[in-house]
Amino acid sequence: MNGIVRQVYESILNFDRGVIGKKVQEALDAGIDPQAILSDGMIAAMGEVGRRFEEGEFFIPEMLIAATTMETGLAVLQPHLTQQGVKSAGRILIGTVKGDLHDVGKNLVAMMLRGSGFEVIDLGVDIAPERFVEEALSKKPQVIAMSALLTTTMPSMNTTIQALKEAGLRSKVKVIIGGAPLSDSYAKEIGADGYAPDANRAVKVARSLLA
Amino acid sequence: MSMFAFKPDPDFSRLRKALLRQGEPDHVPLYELFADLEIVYEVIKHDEWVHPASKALVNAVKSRLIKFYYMLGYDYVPLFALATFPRDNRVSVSDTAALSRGQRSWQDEHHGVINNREDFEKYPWPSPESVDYSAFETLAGKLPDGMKIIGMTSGVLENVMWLTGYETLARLLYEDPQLASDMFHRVGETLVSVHQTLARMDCIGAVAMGDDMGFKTSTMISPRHLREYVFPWQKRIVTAAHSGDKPFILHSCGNLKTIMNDLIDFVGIDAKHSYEDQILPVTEAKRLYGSRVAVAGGLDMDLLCRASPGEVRRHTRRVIDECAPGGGYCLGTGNSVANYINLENYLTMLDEGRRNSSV
Repeated sequence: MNGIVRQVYESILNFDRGVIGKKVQEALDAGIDPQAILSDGMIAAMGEVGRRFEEGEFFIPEMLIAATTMETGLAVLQPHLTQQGVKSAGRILIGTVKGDLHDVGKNLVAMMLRGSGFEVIDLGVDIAPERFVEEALSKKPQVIAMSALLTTTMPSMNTTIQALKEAGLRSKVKVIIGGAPLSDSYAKEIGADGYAPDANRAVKVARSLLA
Repeated sequence: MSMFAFKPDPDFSRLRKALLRQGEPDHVPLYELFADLEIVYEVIKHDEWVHPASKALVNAVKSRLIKFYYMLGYDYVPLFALATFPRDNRVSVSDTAALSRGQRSWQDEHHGVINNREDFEKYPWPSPESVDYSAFETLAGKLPDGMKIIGMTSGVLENVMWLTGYETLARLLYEDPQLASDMFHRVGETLVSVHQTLARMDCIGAVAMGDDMGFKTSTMISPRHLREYVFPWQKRIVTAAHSGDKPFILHSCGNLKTIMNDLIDFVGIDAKHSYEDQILPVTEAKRLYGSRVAVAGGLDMDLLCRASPGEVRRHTRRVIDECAPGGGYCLGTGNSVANYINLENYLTMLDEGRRNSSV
């Protein structure tokens, strides 16, 4: 790995928000391919963050700060990626379902997905089924990711899937779900395509569905 | 149908025996962190559910809160010490619960009332002397014979997280650890003082603290940070409770696998409350930790929300059969009697629990 790209990688793992932007700019100034900065510096670092989370070395605070650091660097890099026409790993629409305002988990999933090369459109919280449908029609994502923290709000996921079916979208988009009361069996019960218990595994599920 | 076909027979020593694992009580006591007021008011208005022979006793109770716990067979009434740390960083949305409260609000996880050193210095930290305990005295005067109060506060980590917002705390742990430490110190010393006062009250039979430290797969912050910032304060709070001979019940949601030994051996809790089937079913918790700590509650909230009464009854029976022998177990929900659980399911759980009763 190139030395400057290595520093981008390390600044994410060291949670160095104040440095990463400069490192990305240095890499760009040195003529390094923006795609290489993204994949070898940022995506690789976020992969390592995910590994450390799975291994119990990192916890949510560490993952949050690493992801925030990555996003700081990505803000510098993004215009160059756009200019170069670098394709994302896939477009994902994400939101917390109707009646639910919890979004720490959802935001973390969004950041981890961005850090893994996906284009993420974050709808926010308290998203009604019809809004998911409306946004899916206009944004044409490959994946819709829904989050819920409460037993009382998770049925909105089922309602959203039914609404996607009625709009003729279900065969065109994969649906993944996550959140405290959810499980793989609930995902199957409502006809979702995947379930992830945490942000790192959400990335893996999204990748496998789009492979 | 008479739903409460039994004569209330509160006896706090029954619950104490379970909390301190001093053998098997005459029947499995009930325990909840609290019941939402929507549930309390819904239940107490159904006078027809009370067995005719018990109506005079129930109607003699002069507090709605006590009446709820008394008529359902609890040996105590839970009461929060309204300390403590004022804040307005909350968000709300329409409540989807069956017994809706209109709007349901939650902590804003992104923004705190304390985000930096300047906020910390300006914050109106309460003095321990400013805490109002008059509600305890009022309630104590209305308690039926045999009942006690369980005095409660929110916890060390919870209060810091509420004041800063979760994301700000995550940042502070790395970018301003001294401020994080100062936050825990201010919150911790206030809570210690409150628990010292609770421990001196005769009307209080035990104390409980809600300190959610986990989520589905892990702890909210690393065990290293918990050991540095949180557990020393929790230990002092437990010590305060024990100084007044009060059992200490910790309510903490989430996956605490990596810190259970700390909580039992270092912090010194007597009982652990809050279990989720997807993380650690209460029956498994009893097998793993039941020889070292009492286990309270554990009927999964999702089950109580979505299962049929028949399923709830069968599951309750299985939990009692596996957890009650030898003592050290109290029957209850996995979290609290929230306004979104199915009321019939909750009452079914209690009814099945009373079948174990000799009263």
